[in-house]
Amino acid sequence: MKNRLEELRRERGLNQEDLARALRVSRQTIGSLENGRYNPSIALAFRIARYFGLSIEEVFIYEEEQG
Amino acid sequence: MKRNRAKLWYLGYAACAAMLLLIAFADFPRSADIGLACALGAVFGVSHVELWYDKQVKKDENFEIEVEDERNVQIKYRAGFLACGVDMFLFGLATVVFIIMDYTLPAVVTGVMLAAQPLILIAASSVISKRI
Repeated sequence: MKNRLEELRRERGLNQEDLARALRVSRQTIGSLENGRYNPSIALAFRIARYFGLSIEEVFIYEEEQG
Repeated sequence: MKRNRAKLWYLGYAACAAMLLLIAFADFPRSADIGLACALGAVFGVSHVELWYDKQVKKDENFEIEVEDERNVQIKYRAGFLACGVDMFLFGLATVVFIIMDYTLPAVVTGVMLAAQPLILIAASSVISKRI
């Protein structure tokens, strides 16, 4: 699953630490989310989307796995 | 409520002191003293860690975030699963070594622990599947 987290964070002039504090997760989680190594739980996905004032679909892009 | 419950771990220290007195002054057989010493170590370790954890949560907001972070929780579960697999392998190895060395009782103990593992897994799965 792809996401626009890094783009949205940079648009708002936040660093990973700030965003992590706002979402009450570790900075490493933000890093892993941004580079696509980790997919968030539904609850965290909602928290992220609400934080940016967007819908989940506007932040996360679900792609069916091929093959 | 949670805070008060954390204070209950101080009873662990009291239990440790009681066990220490028993080991020092009661006229128990040596094996009972060894058993008490093992229990003392376990109770002290758990109590101390729980109280330390409670203090850290109050003192450092980042500590609570780190502990409750969902990725860290997943890492903990996956690491636990992996460690369990490694433990199974080591128990199997120990059982084989005990059999080769003709140590029947240790072989039976480790063998039973090994055999119990899948049963514990099934029982735990059943309990958890009813909750989620």
